[in-house]
Amino acid sequence: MRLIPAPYGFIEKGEIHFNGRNLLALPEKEMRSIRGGLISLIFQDPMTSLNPVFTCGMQIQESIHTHLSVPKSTSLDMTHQILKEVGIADTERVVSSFPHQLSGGMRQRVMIAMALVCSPKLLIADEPTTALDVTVQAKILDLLHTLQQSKDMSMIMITHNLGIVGDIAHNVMVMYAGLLMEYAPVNVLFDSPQHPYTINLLETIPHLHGKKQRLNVIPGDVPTLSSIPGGCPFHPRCNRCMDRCRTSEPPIFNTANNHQVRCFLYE
Amino acid sequence: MNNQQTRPPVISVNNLKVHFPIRKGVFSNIQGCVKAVDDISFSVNKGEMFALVGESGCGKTTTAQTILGLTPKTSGTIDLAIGPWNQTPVNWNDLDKKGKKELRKHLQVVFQDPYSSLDPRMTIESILEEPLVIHDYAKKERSDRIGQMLSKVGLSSEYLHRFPHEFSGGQRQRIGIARAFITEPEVVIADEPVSALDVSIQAQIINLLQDLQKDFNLTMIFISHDLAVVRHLANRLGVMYMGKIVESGTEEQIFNSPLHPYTRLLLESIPLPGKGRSSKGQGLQDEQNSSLSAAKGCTYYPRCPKRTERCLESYPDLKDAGESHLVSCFNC
Ligand SMILES: Nc1ncnc2c1ncn2[C@@H]1O[C@H](COP(=O)(O)OP(=O)(O)OP(=O)(O)O)[C@@H](O)[C@H]1O
Ligand SMILES: [Mg+2]
Repeated sequence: MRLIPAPYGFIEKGEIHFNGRNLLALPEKEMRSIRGGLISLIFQDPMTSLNPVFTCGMQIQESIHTHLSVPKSTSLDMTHQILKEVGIADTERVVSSFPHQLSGGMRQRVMIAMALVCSPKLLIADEPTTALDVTVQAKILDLLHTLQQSKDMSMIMITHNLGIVGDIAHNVMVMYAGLLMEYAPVNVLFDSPQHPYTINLLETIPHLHGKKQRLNVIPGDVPTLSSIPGGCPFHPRCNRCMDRCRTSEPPIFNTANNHQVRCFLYE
Repeated sequence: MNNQQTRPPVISVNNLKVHFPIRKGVFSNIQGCVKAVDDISFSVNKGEMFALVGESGCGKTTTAQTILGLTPKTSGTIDLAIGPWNQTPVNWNDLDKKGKKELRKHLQVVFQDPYSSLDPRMTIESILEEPLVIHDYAKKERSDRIGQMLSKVGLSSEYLHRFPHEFSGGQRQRIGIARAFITEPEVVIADEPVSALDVSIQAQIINLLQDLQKDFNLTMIFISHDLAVVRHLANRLGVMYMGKIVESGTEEQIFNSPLHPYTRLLLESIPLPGKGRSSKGQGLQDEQNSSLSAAKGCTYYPRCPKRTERCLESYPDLKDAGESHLVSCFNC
């Protein structure tokens, strides 16, 4: 999305292709029309991305007018329609409410509505349902499924909820400390995970039918990005750590068609 | 055990209502109200982990904020048998400024959002010290407690002079928890304490909360959308729907034999790791999620598979289905 704040961060190298065009080479003006139009983003924290001094209705309409030339009455209809689709029945009230007057989950749905209202071709959703109960979450996931099929929308879903991954994803990439650790089709990842981090991750989930024992934990802490250990970044927490893991960073190994793992165990 | 019988519930909420006026138009006319919390009653006993679950917008945060004295109630009572008042419950309105301060010492909160609930300009040391200063702890005791609490939450004391932005989400959440527990409160209310964390950190925090509960015989109300976490931590839970508690019972009662149709839908909608949901495609039926509705019947009527004529006429009271498993439904 080219939203990395300029003086603090920069893109060192690489290319990002979207429909055959390198986004990193586009002029900012063109990028602005892609952002929120062809590519849409749902941010993790609704409170920082909704403007506290405008009503939710105004904010959704505003994003429609940025990308489509339609009269105000049409954008208002679209606003009500999309809010209904994300499971808000009382759309009148939500349209005229300021963000602080809504519950956490309602704000999150306003964000989702704003991202979907212009029918993007690619949706990037960063933890889009953390503030939602499972029934509303189910409705949102169904809506995303439908849009994906009927409007041919592609999706990058960023989440730590492995249930959602199982529900919605075709392919999964597991990341740790800025690196790809494992990449596989969703059923392969759950049935035969290979990277020790992925295996650990799947073991730490509290189970619905589980008894009240202590949960498994992965010892240690996620490194802050300024203190990433040398070698494989996961080595201090890894239960299969070998000598060479401490000194050199493993490359990515292809263990099967469409299955990639960054771990010396699979050399 | 004996103790429990003589002692009133730590928190006792009776017929609580919290309504917010809706204003519209240039003259800010009041146009009805949102019944965020609409006549709920429940109580939480000493040492209990009570979970509040339910649909987004059903009033969980509002309930918590009202118990904490941060949102004014419309009607009803909240009696708190906490700290010096553990035999003779008080409510916020009875207390003067000094009394409120004393009550806050024993009733703490962990906020949902580890990013915005810590003051970015304060070091970890001053964040942890603040509640101790407010409650007049001596200098020596302050630094002892900070040291102990840091090791309890698994953070090294070399972090003391750093600022919140230097920490990961999980670390910040643990700082928030350390801050809530540093005055050894009897009661903690935690609003989505783990939803912002990745599963490996989440497991650490859940274990930590369990340990703290054992160490302090803590009473806790916690709010979570993650029912697996709820099952893991809670002894008892209340299921809320549109401002009302529709079912309450022990963790076993609710998860093994849910009665209310909403509770059943909730349990069926949980996506399981690697498998997805058991109720795919049937998520919410056409929802009529309006806390505005003035209808006198059951609020779940529009979505209920078990509805009958009777449900339109009056709202079903909570009734005991056996062993204090309460449910408000005419048809189950
Ligand atoms: N300050 C306010 N002014 C007006 N309405 C409010 C205010 N605070 C909350 N509400 C309304 O009260 C209802 C309940 O909100 P609350 O935050 O308690 O829900 P919740 O159960 O915590 O939901 P979530 O799971 O989404 O966080 C919502 O309809 C919300 O819009
Ligand atoms: Mg809430």
